[in-house]
Parts: sequence; structure tokens; C-alpha cells
Amino acid sequence: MTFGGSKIEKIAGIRYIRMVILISLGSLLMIGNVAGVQQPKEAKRVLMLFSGQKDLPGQILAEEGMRASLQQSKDFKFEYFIEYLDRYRFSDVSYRKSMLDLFRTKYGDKKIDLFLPEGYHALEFATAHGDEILPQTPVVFATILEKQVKRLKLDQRFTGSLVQIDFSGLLNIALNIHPDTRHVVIIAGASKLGRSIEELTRVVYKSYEYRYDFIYLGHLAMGDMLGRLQKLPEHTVVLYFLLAKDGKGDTFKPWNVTKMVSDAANAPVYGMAETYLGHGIVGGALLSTEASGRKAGEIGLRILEGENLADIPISAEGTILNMFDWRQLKRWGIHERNLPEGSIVHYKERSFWYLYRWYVIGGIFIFLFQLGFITALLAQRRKRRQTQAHLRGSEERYRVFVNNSTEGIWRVEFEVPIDVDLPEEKQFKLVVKHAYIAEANDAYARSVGFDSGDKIIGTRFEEFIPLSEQKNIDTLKAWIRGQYSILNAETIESHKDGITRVFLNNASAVIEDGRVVTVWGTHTDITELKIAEKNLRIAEQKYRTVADFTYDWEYWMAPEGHMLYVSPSCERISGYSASAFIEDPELLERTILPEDRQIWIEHQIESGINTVSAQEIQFRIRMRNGEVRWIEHVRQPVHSPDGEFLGVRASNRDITKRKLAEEILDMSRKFNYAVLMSMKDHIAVLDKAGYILTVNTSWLDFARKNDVSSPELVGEGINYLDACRRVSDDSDESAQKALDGIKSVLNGWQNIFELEYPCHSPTEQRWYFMRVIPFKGERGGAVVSHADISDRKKAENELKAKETMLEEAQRIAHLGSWNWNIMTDELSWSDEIFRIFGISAQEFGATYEYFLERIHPDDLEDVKETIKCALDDPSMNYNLRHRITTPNGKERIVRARGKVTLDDQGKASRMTGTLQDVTDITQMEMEANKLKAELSHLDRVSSMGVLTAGIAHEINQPLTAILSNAQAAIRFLKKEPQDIEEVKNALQDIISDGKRSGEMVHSIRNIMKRYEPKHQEIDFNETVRVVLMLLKSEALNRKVLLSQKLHPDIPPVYADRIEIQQVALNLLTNALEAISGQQISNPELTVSTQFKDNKDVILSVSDSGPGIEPSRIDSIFDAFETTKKGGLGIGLSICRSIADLHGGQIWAENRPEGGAIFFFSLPLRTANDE
Amino acid sequence: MMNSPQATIFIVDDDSSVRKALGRLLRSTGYAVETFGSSEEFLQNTPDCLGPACLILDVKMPGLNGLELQNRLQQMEYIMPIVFITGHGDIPMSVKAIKKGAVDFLVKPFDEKDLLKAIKDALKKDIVDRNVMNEKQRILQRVKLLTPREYEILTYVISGMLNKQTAYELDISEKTVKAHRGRVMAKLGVDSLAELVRLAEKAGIEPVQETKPF
Repeated sequence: MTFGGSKIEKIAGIRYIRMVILISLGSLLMIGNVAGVQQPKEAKRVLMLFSGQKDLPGQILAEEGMRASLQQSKDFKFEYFIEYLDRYRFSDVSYRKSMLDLFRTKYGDKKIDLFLPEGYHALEFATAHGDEILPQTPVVFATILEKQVKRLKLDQRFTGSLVQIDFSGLLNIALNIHPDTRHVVIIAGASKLGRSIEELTRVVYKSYEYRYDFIYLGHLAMGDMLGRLQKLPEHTVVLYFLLAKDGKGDTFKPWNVTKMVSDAANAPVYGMAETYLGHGIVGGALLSTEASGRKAGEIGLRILEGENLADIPISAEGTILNMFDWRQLKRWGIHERNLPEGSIVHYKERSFWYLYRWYVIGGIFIFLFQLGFITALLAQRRKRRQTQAHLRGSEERYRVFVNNSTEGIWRVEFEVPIDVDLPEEKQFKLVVKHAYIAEANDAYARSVGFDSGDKIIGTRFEEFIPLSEQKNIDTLKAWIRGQYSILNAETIESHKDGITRVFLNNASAVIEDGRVVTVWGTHTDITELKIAEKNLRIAEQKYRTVADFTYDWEYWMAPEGHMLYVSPSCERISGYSASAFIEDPELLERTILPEDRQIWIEHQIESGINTVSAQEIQFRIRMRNGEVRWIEHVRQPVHSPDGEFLGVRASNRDITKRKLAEEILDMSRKFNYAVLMSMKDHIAVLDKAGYILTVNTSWLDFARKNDVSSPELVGEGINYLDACRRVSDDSDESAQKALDGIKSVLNGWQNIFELEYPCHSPTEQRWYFMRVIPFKGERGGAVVSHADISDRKKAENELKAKETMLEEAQRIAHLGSWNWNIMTDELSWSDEIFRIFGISAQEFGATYEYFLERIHPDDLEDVKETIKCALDDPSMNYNLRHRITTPNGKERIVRARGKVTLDDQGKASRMTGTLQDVTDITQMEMEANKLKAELSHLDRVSSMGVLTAGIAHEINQPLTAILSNAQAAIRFLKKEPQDIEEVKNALQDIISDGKRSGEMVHSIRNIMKRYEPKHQEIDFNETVRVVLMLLKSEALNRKVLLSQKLHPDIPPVYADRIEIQQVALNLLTNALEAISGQQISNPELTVSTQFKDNKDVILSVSDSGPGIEPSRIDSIFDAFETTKKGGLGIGLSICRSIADLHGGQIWAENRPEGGAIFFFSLPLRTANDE
Repeated sequence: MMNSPQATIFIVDDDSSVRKALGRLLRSTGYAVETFGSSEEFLQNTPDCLGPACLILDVKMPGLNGLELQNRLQQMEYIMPIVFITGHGDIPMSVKAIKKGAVDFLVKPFDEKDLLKAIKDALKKDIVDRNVMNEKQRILQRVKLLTPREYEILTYVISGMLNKQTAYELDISEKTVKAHRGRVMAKLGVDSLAELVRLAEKAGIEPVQETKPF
């Protein structure tokens, strides 16, 4: 955790440290400055443009951030140009214009190296005018929301730092700090941004809704809102996002509102932005404009250092900071350790120590130094004096000490000094033989049953230390081995009264010339201690015996922290042996999962420091094999009977299985709840008395939407039976039924109750399906569900309506349906077929034979044949038009369609189909055909009309030739001599010209006459050529170059000659008129025939005219579509019907080189294909 | 009527049977006949004959039509009287043709009487044209004697401008204008202004246009 001071404090701190360094290293720095030649910094101009006026807090922070980053540069020094758009107060066009003028004037010819726009409006200004004012300058923006950036078009000159609102971060921080939170108040105000933030919170916090109650106060007027904040329920946190406009429409500055909200609220307030900090909010995941500014500054610097702008992504990274107000933490009693890691705490009130610690430390240091100095001076003198005094008092003090000591002090001498180099056994014997007490104090004497030390002088060693005790022999030998010096050696000594006591001895020998002369010693009676020890050992043994066989993992930890005992069951639970825990007391803590360690530590503090019992805790450990286990840990301090703290006894129980079961139970509960909530049906759970225990979301939604019943009427805690009763009083029949049904289920008379009932709302027809299912068991109760079956009902009703409609439609269309069971020869007809046949259902023999009887004799064979075909080959559909005779002798024309159905063996079993009375239609068709022929004729005549002049010319040509030839022949005959040869030639020419004009007239007559179309094999090219002949002259008249490219090998085509000519005539005259109506140089018209893929014969007519308007390219074939003056507009539509009749196609395209091209294609077919 | 045996009739028609029949008819009346299938063919082999000749020209033909060929020949200063024949002629078309100097305009089918009369007229016109042509040639020979300045003065004189005006226009003295004018009259062998104007007209010399006042 970082504890930052307020900004001013921080800066002061830095300054202080700098000063110290300056003073201490001053001389060094001076040398450095002289010696190192510093590279001069390159000057750069930075333009900062802020969206608002000068004094907006967020902007001030952003500017600080930008400057702080830029100041880091080693290579550059900066000249700052700061501009404020003041866009929030001035937004009209003229202001913008003059602002732009100002920019032009100021920066038009100034080189700016870096442009830092802050906020949306500044960036918008930069994108709109940046190219003009600062055409080359890289632009790095700051403090803009992502959705704002998306509104702007940024080219590759732009990058920058976004800011974002951390919705979930903010809420999670508040919830983590206040784990018992139940209500969350959201304040975002009624401004545009506020409303969209509120919308977002509803989306983001959706998943929290089932656990927390969210209260939105955005729509309230300021006064009302503050009133509400004063009376918030317990366990509430307030999330303050912003309030720029309240529900009444009054505007506010969001950071000013912060204080009003925090002062009013009786719950902690968490905020959205850094600028709110210090105004009463506790803190939160805050949007930091300073961080964004700093990031923009960093990016700007990177660009100036040569980094490619395009490589720097636009992001909001690092602009959310967890910051808190120390004063507010205190106010709400929040401990700093509950804050998220890395949080910054501002406004910390410093203790005297914190604020003045350097002065205090400095003072103490000086004081100590002086003290040390003085002490050193005094030491010399005192030492001398002490030595003298020591010598004087030494003897005296020794005596007093020995005599008054509560410890036994003795001295042993030997009658014969013992050579310490002798073998141990030998020395032992000599000691036993020669050692006697030479001196002993009263305490020693008392310990062996005498009242004064003098009384035991000269006594043999052995008397007090009986050698019957092996322990004593061992101690003596150890004493000898240690050259008569030993520490803490136990002896068992005989009391004068025969009581044996245990002593702890220390001895120190005086050895001269390799012989022991005398030995000083002390001894303490530890008999009581020994007994206690023994008792303890026995107790411990008992404890162990019990603990070793416990199922739980027991341990006992000494007050110093090491393990006194760990039960073997620890190995089963943790995988580590007991000795592992004893050797490494911290092993237990290490096995705890890091996320649970806090629980452990807190618990230890609680129970360890206070040495009191603490509640059990639960945490997870990782076993040696990596498995995770849940442990329930319980501990008690252990005290000796006299209240001494002996450590902690603890027991770890493996509760993994229980935890798992709990989790599963919890999940299944959640699952059930989720299922209930997610059901589309409206579900309520009733208790035995009919009270609603719980309802699901659908139920509530329905209640909410329904104007009739509000949630209060049918929500939780309401008696549903009463609700039903109320409605049934309004004479609602189904409510009465429902009431009876629910009652009978609740009383156990019925196992299930189901009811379908209408429930129409004013706007909608609705039906519901109600189901009541009882709960088994003593508590009883039932689940009531209402499913919306409106769709099914509607579908059913629609089906009914459709059936009626179908019947009606059959009647209107004179179309009936039939079904013929071939096996049984049963034929069923719909009503309409009876009507068509003019008979009633009773008269009809209902057989195939009877049906055949009704068919017109001329059509009978056809019908039979077609049915036979369909039966033989079911893929052939039965589709035929034939006549029938009604009983009263009337003739009707019907169209019959049908399909054969096969049975499992592939045999035709059934035939179904329709039969339609088409008498009227057929008659109309015939009329229409007649009209069509008329129209077609009219079209041909009118097309020919266009060519009249040309045709006249064409007829005149042979006439002219005939006339001239005849006159020439006469002259040659009159001549002397007669030129018979010339006459013969002349007559020959007359004949061929006569034929030529005859053909011409014939073709014209053919086209002009009314006729019955007749399909036959024709020469396609020849057919086209006739039209070209008729047209040639007119083309010439209109100065149109007519060229033809006829494919030489087109096989005969099965078609109607005149109709083909009509198509060609139409296409050609259209083209001719299209070209000659326009001012076109070199008008051209090309007619070609092709034979494509050996199957299609194509006639194409292309012209160099203006082409077809693309929008009309498909509609030109429709009737009465014309752009020609005086045109009928039926030519192309007739061409299309001709194409259809021939199984061909007609279409038009615009040529890429200009002009239009029309295609007419005919499939190659013969008479057999018809 | 006497038909000079050397008279040649040129026929241009795209319809071969018409061409052939007309040729046969005219041959039967004693003319020499040459036929062409199109205007282009005629232009490529423009006949250069000494004797009288005329052209029978179909109006409607692919490529250059009859009227266009007439224009072209005039531009070439190829002088030959033309008799137009047409499948169906309208009055504006015939007026246009006649204005341009066509001798006649016959609508097919036509009688030989009409055709032969038109041809006769055309041949007569051809003889006159040839004479005029000769005179013009002579005048142009003389005009060639004029210096550029004198030619310029001539165009001013025939435009009807006074000497004073001419002098002002050309920025020379009136006296100089007079002197030039005298020399022009002498060189061209005329005595009066009226004669000079007529001669210039025959030679096709265009009078100068009056300049704008500003």
C-alpha cells in the first residue's frame, strides 16, 4: 500500500530531500557542472488546447499531467502555448469563426511541434481545422471518452489517451469495503451524459441485481434527492457518477455537487472521478484526467523523440486510479488494509511524529552524540576509582555473598592431591577415599539436614553423595573427566533424615602442578522441579496417547512459536509428516492458499496476541500432492493451573467433503432459483393457506405490465386465494374456477389442477394456461404457474379461420379439390367440385367411372390417356384442360391437376388434385387472343407505316428500270438495223425487275394481312433479309449505315415467319428511330444472326444511338412503355409475347461503346418439340 | 434537235438495274454513256472530256448522296450540268438542287421524253458554261498582273467605297488611291467603274467588307 501525502506535502517532501542532497553534495555538483559540458536542450513548441474555460478542475489536473511528462525530457525544453476554447459556455457559430481567426492569426505562420487537445471539443476543433492551422503537427489528445472519439474522423496524424468510467471497479471497491451492503444508490443526474451513464449502470450492474437493491436517484430534483440521501436505509453505499443537471432541469457543477451529496448522505459515497476527491467522497476507482494528461504528454514526447505516431495505439490504459480520502476512511471506520492493493490515500492527517520525525531524529542524534562525548571524558576517572573500591570490598562482599546465598556453596579438599593425568577409575577411587568437605555455607548444610555449614566440615563426600546411586557415580566420573569442573550435573544426595533429594551442581577446580588441590561448587535443590517434570512427562504422555490417535490434526504450539506436538493425523490431512511441521513451524502457514492466508493471519493475531479463545475459521490448504482441502481450524490458549501461558493447542479438521456438499447445496439452491427466475411462465409458490411465498421475474413483470393487478395485489406475502376471490367477485367466471381448483389442490383433494382461460388486455387478445401442483410433505402448499398460450390459441383460431377461408376461396375461385383412392376406387370431392359438375353429393356415384361419364366425349380419350400416363410414371403430373357435360346438358371447361402418391411398394395408391372451372377464363382467353392478334396486326401496320417512304422508293426502282428498258427496246427495234441483242437484254431485265417488284409487294402484303400464326420450318436468315429489304431504303433516307452480318450456317428454325419478321421489323424500326431522332454523327445500325452453342438462334440489332436509360432497360418490354412520339408502346411487348410463344427470349443491353443492342433468341426445335 | 455525237452522259445511281436501264435507253438515243455505282466511284474517276457532257445523278445513295456530290463538285470547280433523278422527291429538296445549279429534277419513274429534254437542256448549258469558263480564265490572267496593293485597292473599289474612305481605311493619301485605281483600270483593260465591277464579278473577286466603326 502506498501512502501518498496530499500533492503539496509530496512536493514539499521532494524539495526537502533535494535540499539535503544539494547541501551535502554541493561541492561535488559544482565540480560536475564545470567538468561536464551539458548538451543544450532543443526548444520545442507545444500547443495545449482545452475544451472548456480556464478554471475547470479536470483540465487543471490534465495540464499538470501533460507538463509533468514533458518536463521529463532530457533532449528538449518546451515553450508552452495554452488556449481555452471555452466551448461549454460559448457554442455559436460566430464565436467559433472568430476563435478560428484567432488561431489563424496566432499560429498561421508559427511552427508548432506538438498539439495536445484536451477533451472532446478541443479534439473536434483539431480534426476540423488542424489541417489548415497546423498542417504537419502531430496531435495527441487527452481525457476523451471512447464513444466521443468514435464520433470523429481521425487520420494517422492523431493518437492520444482516452479516459473511461470503471463501472464494475467502482462498485466492487465499495462492495469489498462494505461486505454487508444491501442497497446501492446510483446518482448520475438528468443531463444527457448522466442519462447515458445511468443506462450503462443498469446494463453493467444487471448481474448484481439479484443480490443488491439498486436505487436510482437521477430523476429527482436536487432538494428531494438530498432529502432521500439523509434517510438511506442501513447497509447502503452511494455511487456518485455525476450530476450536471437535476430532475428539475437546474444545472450544477458535478464536483460541487459531490460535497452536497457527501454531506447529505448518511452512507459512504464513492465517486467516479479524481476531481471529486477531497469533496467528501470516500474514493473509488477514479477516472484520472491527470493520468490521461500525463499519458498524452508521454506519447507526445515519444513522438518528438522519433517514434512513429501510427504505432502508438489509442487507449485508456492507466487512467483509472484507486484513490481514497483518509479523512473519509476515518469517518466511516474503514481500515486501510481493506482497500485494494496499490491504492493511493490522500489527505492524511499526520501525527506529530510523522510530521516532525526528521527533527526529532536529528535532535536525538545530536543529544546522543553529545552524551557519548561527555561519557567518554568521564569514563577515565571513574574507572580508576572503581578499581580501588573493588579491591577493597572484594573480600568482604565474598563473605557476605557466600553466607547469605540461598544456593548451597561448598568446597572440597583432598587429603592427598590427585594427579589429574591418572586413569579415570583410579582418580575415582582416590576421590572417594580422600575428598572431604573443607568449607560449606549454611544453605548447603540445610540442604543435607544440618543447620550450620561449620557442622559438616570434614565430612566425607560419600556421606552426602551415596555411591549406591548409579546417577551419582556417573556424575562423579563426568566431573573427573571434566578435570573436576562441571556444570548442571545432577546428584542424588541423602538427607540427614534419610530423604533423598536431587541437586543440580556446578563445580570449578583449582589445579596446581597437574594435581587437583581444591574444588569450589554450588548446588541447588531441584527435587520439586524433578517431580513436577516427571508429572508433566506423564501428563504429556497421556495427552499424546490421546492426540496421536485423534482423527483431527492436533498440535500444540509453544508460546515462542515452535511446535511442541503435532498429531500424526496431519499427514493424512496435509500430506506432510508431523516432524515436518515440528522442524518448520511456518510450514502450516505456507500450505494455506494465498487467498485464504489473510484469514489465518487475522485469526492468529486475534487469538495469539490476546491469548484468548477465538472462533473457528475455515481456510483451504494445498496438500503436499497439490490437492486442495478445506480445513476448519479451532484453537485455544493453554494455561497452567497457576495461569502461565503454555502455548496454543489447535485442531485442524478436514471439512473438504462438508464444504463440497455445502457448495453443491448452494449451487443447487442457486440453480433452482435461476431456473425459477428464468422460466417464461409466471410462477408463484403458495403456502398451505394460499399465501404467496415467492414469485419469479415473469410473474412480477406480468403484474407490473398489467394495469389490472399491481405487484402489491399479487406479490409476495399476499394471499392468492383472496386475490382470486376479489376478481371472481367482479363476476369473472374463470377466477372462480381457479379459486376452487387451487383450494382443492391445497387441501389435497386433487393432485393437479389445470385451467385454460382468456385474459384479454385492452390492446391484446390473450389466453393463459394455469396449472397448480401441490408440494408433497407436511408443510403442504403448491406451485401455481400461468403460461401464456396466446400464440397457440391464436394459431388455433387462425387455423379455423383459414379453413373457413379456404372453403370460401374454393368457392370464389371455382376451384375444388379431389382425392381418388385407386385401390378402393373411392373418389371424394370438395363441395366446389359438386357445384362445378352441377350435381349434389347424393347423386354422385363416387367412382372413377362416373367421373369419366361426365367428360365430354371428344375429350374422353385425352383424359384417360393423361391419367394413364400419370399412373405409369408418377413424375408426370396430371395437368389437363377438358370439357365436361353437366346433367342439364351444359358444357363446361375445367382445368384438372393432380398428383399420384405411391404406397410402400412403390405402387400408385392415391391420386389427389384440384379441379377448376375455367369456362369463363377460357372464353376470356380466346377473346384476349383475338384482341392480341388485332393488336399485333396493328403493330405491324404501324411499323410498316414508318417505312412507307422507303418502300415506295424500293417499288419505284424496278418500275423505273422497267419503263426505261421498255422504251429503249422500242428504240432499238425502230433503229435501222434493229439491235435485237439489246432488245433481248432489255426484255430479260424487265422480267427480273418485274419479279423483284412482285416479291416486294408480296412481302408487304404478308406482313400487313391478318393471319392465323402457323409454325413451320423457315430459313431464319431469309426471313430477316426480307425485313432488311423493306428497311434498306428508309435507312438510306435517314442516312443510317445499315450493315448485316448473317451467320451462314443456320439450320431451319421451327417458327412463325411473320411473327419473326414482326420482331425483326420492330427492333429495326425502333433502332432506326432511336438513331435518326438524335444528332448523331455516323449513325449505324447492325443486324446480325448467330447460331450459339448449336442450340440457340439469335437475332441481334445494335445501334449507335443514345442507348437505353438504365432504369428502363427491363421495363421497355412492358406494354405502353414508349418514349417515341406517336408510338403505340406495344411493339416491344408484342415482341416479348412472340418470344415467349416460341420458347425464346428477348432482352436489351447497352453497348459499352455506346448505343443499345437488342437480342432475340429462339431455341432450335422441330415440330416434334411442340 | 441535233445531237452532237461526242456528247457524253454520266449516270451515277446505286441501283444497278436502274443504272443499266437508263444507260440502255440513252445509248438507244445515240449518247455515249458512262455509269457509276456511287458518288465515290465518280469522284475517283472524274471524267475530263472536251465535248459536251452532263451528269444524271440519283439523289438517294449510300455514302455521299446526290446533293452532296453536287456540292463537292462545285467546291472542286468541276463544272458539269446535273439532272437529278429520285425515288420520291419533295419540293424543298428539288428547290435546293436547282438553286445550286441543277438543270432538272426528275421523279422516278419518269418518261423518256422528260429525261431526254432535261439532258438536252443540260448539254446546252454545258456549252454556255464552257464559254463563261473561258472568259473567266481570261480575266484571271489579267488580274494576275496586279500587284498585291493594286488587288487590295480593287476590292475596295468594287465594294463601292469612295477614294477618300479607301484612303482613310488603308491609311494612305487619297492621291495614292487614285493612282492605284488608274493603274488597276488600265491593267484590266476597262474604262468605267461599272465595267470594272462586272469584270470582278465574273472573275469571282469578292468586294472588301466594310469594317466596324470601332
